[in-house]
Amino acid sequence: MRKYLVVKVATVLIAAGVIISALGFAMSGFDTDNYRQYNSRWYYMN
Amino acid sequence: MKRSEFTIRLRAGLEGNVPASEVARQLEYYNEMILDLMEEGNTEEEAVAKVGDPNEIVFEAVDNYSAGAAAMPMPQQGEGRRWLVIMLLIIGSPIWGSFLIAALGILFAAEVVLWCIPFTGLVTSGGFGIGGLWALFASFPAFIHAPFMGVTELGIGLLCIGIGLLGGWITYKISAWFLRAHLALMSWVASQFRRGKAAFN
Repeated sequence: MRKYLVVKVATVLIAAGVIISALGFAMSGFDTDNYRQYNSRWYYMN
Repeated sequence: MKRSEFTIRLRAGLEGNVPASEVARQLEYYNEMILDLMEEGNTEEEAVAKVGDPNEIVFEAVDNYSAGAAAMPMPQQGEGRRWLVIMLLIIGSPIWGSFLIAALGILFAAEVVLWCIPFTGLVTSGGFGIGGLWALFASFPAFIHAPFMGVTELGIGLLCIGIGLLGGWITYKISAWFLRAHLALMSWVASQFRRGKAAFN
C-alpha cells in the first residue's frame, strides 16, 4: 500500500532507532557516565 | 400681430421642445423686448413685428438649447449619488478606517491561530528530520571515537528521522483541514462584502 508508505517507513525507522540505540546503550554497559566526554562542566573556569 | 397672440404662438412652439424653465425665460425676454420697443414709441404691432416671427424664434431657441445641451455633459443617473457616497466615505474614513484596521487585525489573528498548529508541526518535524540526518552522519566519527557512542548516535539519528517523517506526514494530512478552514473563512469574508454591496445597490 503506497498510501501509508511514509508511515510504514517512519515506523520502521523509529523501531530500528530504538533497537539500535538500546544496543548502543547496552554496549556502554548501561552507564550514562560513559557518554560524558568532559568531566568538568563547560561553565567551570578551571 | 398683438403681443398676446405673439406670446401664445411663442409658448405653443416652445412647450414640449425645451424645458419649462426655458419657456418661461424666453417669454419673459421677448415680452420685455416688446415693452421696451413700445416705450420707445412703437405701436404694439410694430414692436411685435420688430421682434420677429414667433416660429423663427422658436426654431432658433430650440436649436440653441439643443446645441447647448449637447455641449454640456448631462450627469448620468446616480452619478451625483456616487460622488456623495465617495465624499461621505472620505469624511468618515477616521471612523470606518479604524474599524477596517481592527477587522483586518482580527482576520490576521484568526489566520495566525489557524496556521499555528500546521506551522508548529512543520517546524518540529523539520527539526527532527535535520537533527536525525546530522546524528546519522555524526555517528561515523563517534563510532571511531567510541563504538558504543557511534551505535547509540546512529540509533538516535534513525529515531529522529522516523519521528520527523511521521510528524511531516501528520502535518501534511491535517493541513488539508486547515486549508478548508482557511477557504471557509475567506469565503465568509467575501460573502460579507458581497452582501454589503447588494444592500448598497
